[in-house]
Amino acid sequence: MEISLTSDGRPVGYKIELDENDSFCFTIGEGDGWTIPIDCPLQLNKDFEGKDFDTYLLTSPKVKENNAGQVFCKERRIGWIIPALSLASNLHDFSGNEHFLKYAYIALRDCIRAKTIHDWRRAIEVSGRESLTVLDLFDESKAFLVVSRETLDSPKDFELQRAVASLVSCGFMPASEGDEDRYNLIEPHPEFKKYKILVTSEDIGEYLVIYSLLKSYLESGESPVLRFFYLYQIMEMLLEKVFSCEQVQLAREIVEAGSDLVKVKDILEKVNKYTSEKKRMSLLIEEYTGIPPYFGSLIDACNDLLDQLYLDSGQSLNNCLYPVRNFVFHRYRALPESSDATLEEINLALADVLSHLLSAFKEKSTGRDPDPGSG
Amino acid sequence: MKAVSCLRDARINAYNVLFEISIGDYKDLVENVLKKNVFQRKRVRSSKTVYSLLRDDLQKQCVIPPVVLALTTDFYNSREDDLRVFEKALEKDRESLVILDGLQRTYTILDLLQDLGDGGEFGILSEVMASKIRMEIYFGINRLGILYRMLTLNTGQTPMSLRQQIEILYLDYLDKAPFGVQLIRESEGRAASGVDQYNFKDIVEGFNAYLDRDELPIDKSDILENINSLERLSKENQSTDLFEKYLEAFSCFIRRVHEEAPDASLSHDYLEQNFSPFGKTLLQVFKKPQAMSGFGAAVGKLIDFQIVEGFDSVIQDIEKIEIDNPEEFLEDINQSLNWLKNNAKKIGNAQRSYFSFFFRDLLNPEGDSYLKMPSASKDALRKYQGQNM
Repeated sequence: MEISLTSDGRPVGYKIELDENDSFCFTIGEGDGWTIPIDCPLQLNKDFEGKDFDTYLLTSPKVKENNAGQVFCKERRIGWIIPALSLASNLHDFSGNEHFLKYAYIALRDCIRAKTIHDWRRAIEVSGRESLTVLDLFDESKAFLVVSRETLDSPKDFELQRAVASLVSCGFMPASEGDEDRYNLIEPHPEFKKYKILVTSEDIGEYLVIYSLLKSYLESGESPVLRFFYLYQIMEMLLEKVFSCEQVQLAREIVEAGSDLVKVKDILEKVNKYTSEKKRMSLLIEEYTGIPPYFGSLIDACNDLLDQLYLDSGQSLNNCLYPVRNFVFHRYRALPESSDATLEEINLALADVLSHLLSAFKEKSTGRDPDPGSG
Repeated sequence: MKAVSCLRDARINAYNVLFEISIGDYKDLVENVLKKNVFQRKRVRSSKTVYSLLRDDLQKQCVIPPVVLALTTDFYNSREDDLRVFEKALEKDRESLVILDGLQRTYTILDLLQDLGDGGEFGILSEVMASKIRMEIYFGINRLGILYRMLTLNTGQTPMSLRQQIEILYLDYLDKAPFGVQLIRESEGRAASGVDQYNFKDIVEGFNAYLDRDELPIDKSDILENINSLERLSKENQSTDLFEKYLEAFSCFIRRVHEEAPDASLSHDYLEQNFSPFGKTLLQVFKKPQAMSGFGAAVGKLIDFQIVEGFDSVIQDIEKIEIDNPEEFLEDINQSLNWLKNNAKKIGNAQRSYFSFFFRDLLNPEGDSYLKMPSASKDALRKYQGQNM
């Protein structure tokens, strides 16, 4: 991340310092340089100075000033999400919250010092400016995820690239250049002012692929079918994982069966069964994520669409999401425009479900128990 | 120092007198003006090149464009050809000077004199101190005229916001107490807790909202927009000071609310469910800058639409306000503001817009919520939601 300052269009060097009021300021030039304070109406608390934090820059076009919240990962509070709007105001619910003010200090410190971890640049013209605000540095769609390293047992407990799916379902995306208008994200909705973030299982890997697909999903504007297509690619990736795990297991069984042709025949029948996407979807839910079904919203939305299309509804994911998938991929030409809204509801529910599936996924061959903190 | 020319500025009904003055005398004249006036705009740094060139040129005794000041005290002169009258008035009221144009040049001059003195360059220092500059001083100018001149003279240069200029113009109200109202400066560190006490900054913001007909706290540096606002207002501000009128009207509203509901406060039950209400009493609700800005913008718009005649008619209406169930109203208005806090992108802006709708409905004789505060509150929230959700 980079913040550059210009005066009358020409770049100027600067330092970040604290002024006599203990406020952050840019000091421009050497010697008798001039200082430009950064106005912040909050009574920031510096108690966390010297401790270890990672600050990430996020984008959320629909974020509101009152959308700050604590971040929980695996039942443990690891930090806060703080919108730039919240740093520029003392009218929200958190302006007197001691913990918020400590994290807000870190967020402001790190974002001014361009220590957030992302590829993002901003140039600010300072000629004639008596002061700056946070919203001069970051537009209203920006938010800061501040994670305390001390709350993590290991760095792997939270890595941004593994949290992208969950962040998207919470209404955020890691920031990138010019993203203010690009992403069609939902409005953040912290439950009881808390964000529960799930991290993608290490058994999945493929973090860049997931990030890329989610980016495409968000950049698909208002097209529900395109958004569904990109999201379902993530589901396809999970199903492929299931298939490859089952293949490994089946190959092992064939070897163990040796010359027992009856056993081999049974095993080959299983192979046939597992090529069915519907079957793999069942396996994914029942054996690879190890959590009871909780897909109420997704099932309801899928059944709404199936009803509109005069197709049979179902009560499990493979009996309702799979038919929707088939219709969209093979008979899109017959999808009425009036069903767009329902398809978009499916997209929103699917994005949420996928974040849970990605987090809970465990390969059977590892012998590890499913992640108890997921879902 | 010598007055050399006087011209009457009919546009703003004031005298513009040209003086020649040595830089040394100019320093004595303005140093105190800059020091005592805590609202005088801070110096800003623009390109070092421009002002460092000026420093060099001053040492070479260049002639700089006239700086422009105004004397804020009352003035009357029946003989505008007698320039001594102006010189005497300036000597007498020199503490009441305000710099309209040339603030950065003034800082550059003072810095140069300081640096020459500190550097022991007394020869150059005395030459610079003796060299002459011109200054124009406006006499008999009213406050709005000063504002107008500040804007037109500052065109193209580092802009001063309208709010900053209003603060400069009205800072002497800090010592006065019009209508029994006390204005408290932020730097005093006191709370404006009394019924008749207000934060000066908040009142200025509210008056600014009236001038702009806009409740949002945008620091407009757009010269043309500001001039257009003043053009409209100069028609209003013939003999009355609009700032005083705004202050009178708003303080009248606060007093009326206090008379109607001196003891109304949120119940314990309500506070248990809502930890941080907007205001626990009606005074706490309405003495916030959001309400003051909403009031200013609303009255301005009502005047523009010719629904009310002016502040005097608004004051008469305010005196008729009654609040039947203050506690219920207090809870209701807090609920509305709580909804805004949870649903608006920018809370402060949403609150200002809400109050603007509220006062427009409350003070509109043609509306259903005329003088009915609970009804105005409900309508205000509905209108906000209709426009923004």
